[in-house]
Amino acid sequence: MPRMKKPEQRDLFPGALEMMILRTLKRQPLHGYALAQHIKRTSNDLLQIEEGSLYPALQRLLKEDLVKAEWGISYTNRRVRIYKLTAKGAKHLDHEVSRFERMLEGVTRVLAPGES
Amino acid sequence: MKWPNQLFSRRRLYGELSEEIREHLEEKIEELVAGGMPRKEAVAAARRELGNVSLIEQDSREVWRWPSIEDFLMDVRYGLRQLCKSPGFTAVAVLTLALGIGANTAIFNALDAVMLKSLPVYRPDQLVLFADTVGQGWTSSNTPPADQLAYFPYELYTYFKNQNRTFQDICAFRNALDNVNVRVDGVDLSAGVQLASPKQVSGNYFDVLGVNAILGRTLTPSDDQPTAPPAAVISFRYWSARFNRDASVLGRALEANGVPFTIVGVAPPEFFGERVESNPADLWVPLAFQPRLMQRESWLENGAYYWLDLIGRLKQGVSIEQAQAAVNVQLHQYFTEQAGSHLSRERQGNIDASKVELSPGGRGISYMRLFYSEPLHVLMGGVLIILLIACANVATLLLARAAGRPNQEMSVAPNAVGPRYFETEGMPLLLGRPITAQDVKGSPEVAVVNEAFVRSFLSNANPIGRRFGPGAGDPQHSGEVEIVGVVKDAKFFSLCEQPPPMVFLSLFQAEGDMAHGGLEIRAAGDPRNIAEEVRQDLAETDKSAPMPDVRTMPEQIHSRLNQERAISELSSFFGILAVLLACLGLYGLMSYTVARQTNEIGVRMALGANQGDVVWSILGQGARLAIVGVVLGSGAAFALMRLISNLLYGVSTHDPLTFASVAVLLMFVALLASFVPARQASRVDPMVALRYE
Repeated sequence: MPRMKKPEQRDLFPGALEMMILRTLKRQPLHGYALAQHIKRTSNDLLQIEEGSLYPALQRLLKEDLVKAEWGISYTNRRVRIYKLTAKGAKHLDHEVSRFERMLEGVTRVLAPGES
Repeated sequence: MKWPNQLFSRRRLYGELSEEIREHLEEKIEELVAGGMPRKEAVAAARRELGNVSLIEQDSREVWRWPSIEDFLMDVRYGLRQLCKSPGFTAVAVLTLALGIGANTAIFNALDAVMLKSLPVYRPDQLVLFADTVGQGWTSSNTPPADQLAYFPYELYTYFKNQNRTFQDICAFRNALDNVNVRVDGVDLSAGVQLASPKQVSGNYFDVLGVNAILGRTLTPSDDQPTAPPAAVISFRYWSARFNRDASVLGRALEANGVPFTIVGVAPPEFFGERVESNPADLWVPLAFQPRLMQRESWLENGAYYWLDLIGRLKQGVSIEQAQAAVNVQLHQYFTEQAGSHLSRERQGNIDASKVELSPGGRGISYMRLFYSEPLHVLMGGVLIILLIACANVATLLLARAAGRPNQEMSVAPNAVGPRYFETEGMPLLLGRPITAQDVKGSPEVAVVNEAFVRSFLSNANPIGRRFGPGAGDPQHSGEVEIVGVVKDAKFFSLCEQPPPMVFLSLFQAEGDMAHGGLEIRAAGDPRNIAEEVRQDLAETDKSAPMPDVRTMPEQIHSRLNQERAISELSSFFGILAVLLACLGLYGLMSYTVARQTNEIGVRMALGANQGDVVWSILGQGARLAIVGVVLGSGAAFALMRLISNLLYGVSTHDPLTFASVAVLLMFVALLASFVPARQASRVDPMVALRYE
């Protein structure tokens, strides 16, 4: 059975999408669609994220107990699954963000002009 | 979430996921429509932005799975389903693999038993064999390969034992089994006398090997004294066969060649001695009784007899190299002490060159290993090839469905000969005269040699009248034997051997132990009837003489050949198996190839070709392939035959019949495999054939 590469691995580094989901959910609980729109909007559409790739990522976060989901009714009066950050998820986010920042700093230094 | 919950709630989870994605799409569509986009376009745009729904669902589900196990189970289920669909194919594939695997298991077991297994003793890794590479006496071996030991005199054994610092202990045992008459008290052994094979061992033999008796006791050093009451330990096999595992066997008298042994113990069932042989010892008796048991002079007191194998048990922490260094120092000391003051330069050279090579003894001594190592490896190679064929067959079917030389005189095997020996043996005299009844003590010593001797030592010069002496380096005896005749080469030990250089001496001129010999009788009538006569004549001459084991020459040859024959028969069996498998594979491949042309055949038929022509052309194509295969295969087989003919008895490089029949068989199979599907295809309605994939 051939297995496709996971979409987020094509576009972003592994874990990036999960980090953004966690960060977004930290502000407020959201359902899938709203989460996708928020990330797109906030990134000023700079990130080409296939909306669908959100769902496998959400399943991974669910599995790791970083988020939890509950069925509820959206403000547009739809039955939706609303995702919420767990305490474990919050901790994980902090850790991932600081790791990312260190990595970014490193990459930035290397890329900075005038130094080699 | 814990995994058991995961398992049970998975179905629900997947349902929720689908629902969630559906809602996502609808929300998007609604939003787009609300923004003024026509519904049809909105649906397309929403789908595009979301991406491949089934892929998303699959990826999402994968998160919850144990991918490898579940994929595996799924593959297995799929495989089983496919196998059930075509039971014929399944049967052939399973049978093919079963034959291949079975053959490998069988040969590996034999190889393991002969070559690899350790003796059933305590810490076999500590055991060390003493192997000597320089012959110091006539009983030493002439071509010592790795496993074949050279032998030691009793005196040297006690010297090693006394000087020993590297071994916990060293034991000694006679390098051969004797065949003796046995009488057992109170047991009716049919004729009263039976032959049995006792093994003469030093008193510490069982101790050194770390083997305990399952009944009674083993031998001890105090049993190994000429004045001790003769004690014997019997093998489990002998106990079972002769005594029905009767526990009252302990204390019974067992008379062997007139020596009244008492049975003191029974060895454990897995213990056959230090040798891995097809004819293990029946009983173990102390070395001290050698003269009485063998009815010969004492070999214990005569340092000239090299008749003992030695096994030592290394002390903890001593390496085999350290032990070897120590033993070699002792060996040179011993020989130097023996030589005393008159040490010739040549003798000194021999002493310096002599050495003992220690080798790991945990696997025991095995001449079987020596003789069958190569054939067993050939067989192993053969069965591996069979497995390879089997695998190739299954793959094809799957595809089809988816679509030694001595150089010193002293190493010549001597053969003391009675008059008319050559006549009796049927060895034609080529030159000179044979040994006659006139060649007795006092008359000039004579010898007859074989062709191999003349080739090896005299470079084919006329040997008649040339002189030599037994015991190289011994000036007292040099040149005292005159060659009077040459006989044709004969094989003595194995039918596979190259005839060794041989010297035949007159039995009546021989001294000491050389004066013992076998007796060969050419019978006028049926040789089987003569055995009793011989025994009676012998009993009349000397009542105490051991009853000989009288066997006819064919029996003798047969027993020598038994194992070689077994190997050859196994080889034939595997050969036939390989041909069978090759036929099977060939058939599968050819019929597959032809079946794939069904489409083409359909086109030709549709264009008006007649059935006969189509079948013929397919057959021709199959025949061409088969001929190429047979020619290439025969070439390869011929090359390999030269290699194998040296290893297996009865395999010659020129066996046109076998070659031809295998070639014809394979041709036939190839043609049949072409014919059947070709005819089938040519009978199919062209329209159906055209659509055939």
